[in-house]
Amino acid sequence: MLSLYGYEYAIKNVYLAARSALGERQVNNLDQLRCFYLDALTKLAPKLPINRSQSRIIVDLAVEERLTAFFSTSVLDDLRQDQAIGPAYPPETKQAKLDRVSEAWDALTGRSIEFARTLNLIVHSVFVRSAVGAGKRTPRAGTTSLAPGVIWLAVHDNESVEDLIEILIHELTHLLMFTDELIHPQFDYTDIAKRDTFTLSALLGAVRPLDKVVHSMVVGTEIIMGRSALRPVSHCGTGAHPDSRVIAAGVSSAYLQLVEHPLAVDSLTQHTQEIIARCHGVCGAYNLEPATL
Amino acid sequence: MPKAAATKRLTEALEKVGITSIGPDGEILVKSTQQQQLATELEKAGFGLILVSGVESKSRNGTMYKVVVAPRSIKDIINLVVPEKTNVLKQKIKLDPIIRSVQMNMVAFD
Repeated sequence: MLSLYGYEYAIKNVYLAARSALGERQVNNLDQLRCFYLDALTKLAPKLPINRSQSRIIVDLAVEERLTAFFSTSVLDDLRQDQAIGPAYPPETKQAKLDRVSEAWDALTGRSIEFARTLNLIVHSVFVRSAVGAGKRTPRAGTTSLAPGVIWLAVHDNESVEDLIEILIHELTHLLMFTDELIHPQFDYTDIAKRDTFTLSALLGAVRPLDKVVHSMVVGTEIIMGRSALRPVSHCGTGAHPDSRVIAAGVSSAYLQLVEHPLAVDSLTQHTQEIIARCHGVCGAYNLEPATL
Repeated sequence: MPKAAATKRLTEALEKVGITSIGPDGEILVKSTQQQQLATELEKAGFGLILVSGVESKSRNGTMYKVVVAPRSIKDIINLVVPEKTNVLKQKIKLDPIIRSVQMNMVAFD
């Protein structure tokens, strides 16, 4: 959502979310905003470990275990996501994986002030842990709305810094969508768990719950826009996501299927309909202009 | 901010951390010991740093960055927020169980 709606929109949402912890106090800089936002998250998720240190990387195994427990089952999890996170990495390999995540984090934050500030504000904890049932080359990472500000990553040996940067952008997008949802309701929450509102997702191309579909469209669009802004060779696929033209086609197909599905459209708020229309607008332009790839 | 005033503020911020040389496109060489203080001083002055990409950006003498005009300050951004909306929100976050509905999203599952 950072590229789609801009840095200032993200900051305003964080500020609005932080208001429950602000009282009459004023926010003058990013550090203060982060502090109040983390206070608000403590109210929202009282049992969630909130990492207030400058390093977002979680080394402590006990904290890692507590964060893993938040990735639990829900009616909206259609692909057994609650079973996706596996055992802890052996200590002898874990540090090397954490170092590679740090390298990707530094590379991403070094390329854009907007990404740096937003990432540092929104994300408080990044932990690494193995993935279940995926090959050693299949990218795996995740977020959950139960643990705002937390990213899980399974780091594979074959993943490059560019792959990990895209995975961070992917997960940041989910977290920004969750923050946005605190301010602007996105769905008719009584209907989104019903199968007859499910529709085609943008990246996986599977029929999935509406929250996954909307998130996939926004993620796809953010990956394309992020490549344009941050990568020298911009639109080729990476180990994390396919070529931008493939993503754009997936987002457009998902959009067109969704707007033709009355039950699905009725389950989106006006705000979410505007979000996906923006995604379609961006991705439609990429579909029409292969010369930009 | 007028250009002359901006240049003055930038020069002062750089001098505070001991950087006296800046390239034609805003390039500066930053030692790791200067980085934290420089970032703080630049933010106060309305500027930010981005890494100059490429293997040549790192040398024994430091890392090459480019100074850029930063986005609008946090204070300026939040001053644009409509107050009425924030009051509604305070209650919403505390009370509404629906907006806490669980969603899990994972790479490779979309």
